[in-house]
Amino acid sequence: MAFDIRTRVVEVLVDDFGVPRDEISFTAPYDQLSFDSLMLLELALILKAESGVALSEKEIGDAATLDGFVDVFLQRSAA
Amino acid sequence: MRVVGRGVRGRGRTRAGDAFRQGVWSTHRRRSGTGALVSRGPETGRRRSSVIAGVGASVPSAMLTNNDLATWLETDDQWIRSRTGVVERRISAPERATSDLAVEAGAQALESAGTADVDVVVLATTTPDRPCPATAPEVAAALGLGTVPAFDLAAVCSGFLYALSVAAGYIESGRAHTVLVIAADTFSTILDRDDRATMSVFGDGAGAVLLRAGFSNEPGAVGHVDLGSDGSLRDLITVPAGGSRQRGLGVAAAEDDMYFRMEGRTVFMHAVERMTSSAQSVLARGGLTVADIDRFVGHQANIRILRAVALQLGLDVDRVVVNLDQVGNTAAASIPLALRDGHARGEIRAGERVLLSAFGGGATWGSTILIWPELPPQQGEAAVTKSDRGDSNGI
Repeated sequence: MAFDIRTRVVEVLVDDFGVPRDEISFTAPYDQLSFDSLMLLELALILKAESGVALSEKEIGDAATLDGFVDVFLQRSAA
Repeated sequence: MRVVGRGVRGRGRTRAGDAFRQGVWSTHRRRSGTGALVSRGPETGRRRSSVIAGVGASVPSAMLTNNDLATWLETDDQWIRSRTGVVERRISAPERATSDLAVEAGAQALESAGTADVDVVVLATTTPDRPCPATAPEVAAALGLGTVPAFDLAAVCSGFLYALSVAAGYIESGRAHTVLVIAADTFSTILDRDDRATMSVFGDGAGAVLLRAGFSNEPGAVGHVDLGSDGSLRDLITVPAGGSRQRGLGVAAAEDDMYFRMEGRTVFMHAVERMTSSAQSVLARGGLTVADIDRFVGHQANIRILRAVALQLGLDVDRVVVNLDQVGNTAAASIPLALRDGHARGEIRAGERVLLSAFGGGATWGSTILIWPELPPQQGEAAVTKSDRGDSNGI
């Protein structure tokens, strides 16, 4: 798809949330990342506004890692 | 961390006031006839409507800063600012009740309108002076309004919009000519001082508007108020004890259940979804798009909710009116308090189309759109002055 989700996730985390790029890991559990409790929800809402793909709070939480987040996003966008 | 203009910049929207200067609002800016407060006669092609005739607000003088909170909570100024947008909030002194703030806000609204002619008083609050009786009659009496009907209305942070809808119904149906709508809360009385999540967000305050009978196409006319609720979400924002579900009589309630609790993450998602859809509903009903909105006055819950709603609506963030940095989330009071502060600071100007939207416990939500009327400059000091805040709205 034209919308490169992984690249966009990094852009949002770095540019909008100020997360240091070298602290972003797609495989680490959320709680090992320097994210606050709303950041992933806001990330999902930004992606929804840009792509139309909506993720629920539960789906985001269950994903556990950014890799999981991307997988759920791709599943939703393919549905 | 600076978070200006996240995701919604550069979409080519006109800045607030451009449409106004291009004459789009010319029909709305026309002063109504002689300037008399109340127009009772029928006019062809105009529907009877409620019209904002005055606005007022009050906050306690005592300030509680983020650094103050850090003296007993595990937090710091940056933690609170980045997660909530709140820098300081006002807290009532122990001897001051919700009615004290409500009376001050109501008096200021009457002064703003230049009248003490009130048919009904509606007070939106979650923190009445006591469980029984309602607080509104005491407020009406203190305002010298005699024996007018006066009652409380509970819809938590959506309370102002619910009260506005009820008041508009009184006026549109002809049962009242003027209704004083006050929204006041003293959340400091129900907060757990050891709960960082709620202590960092909420503050005390009151806001009020006087509605008068007028016509639907004049400045200040309140448009359709979209309201909704979802009782399945009742536990997201709650004080569990003290009501009939969990009585205190004979059995002491657990101390934790006597405090206000909120599930922040889940509330965030529901608030963004409902405020966005409700706002879109009133836009569609009015045949408008978000480009027609000059100012967005959302419930001042949290800067990140306001930012997310603006993003979902496609609204430029510089159109979002923000005062939560200085007063926190004042629950029902937040929208009229933000209206009053925005008016006092000149951020909301006559002729501008203003979108209001809120989400609160219940869950409840609501939205409406109005054209801001010409009102006299506020006599009192704004809760937050322009110079206090700099030029940024904090988003």
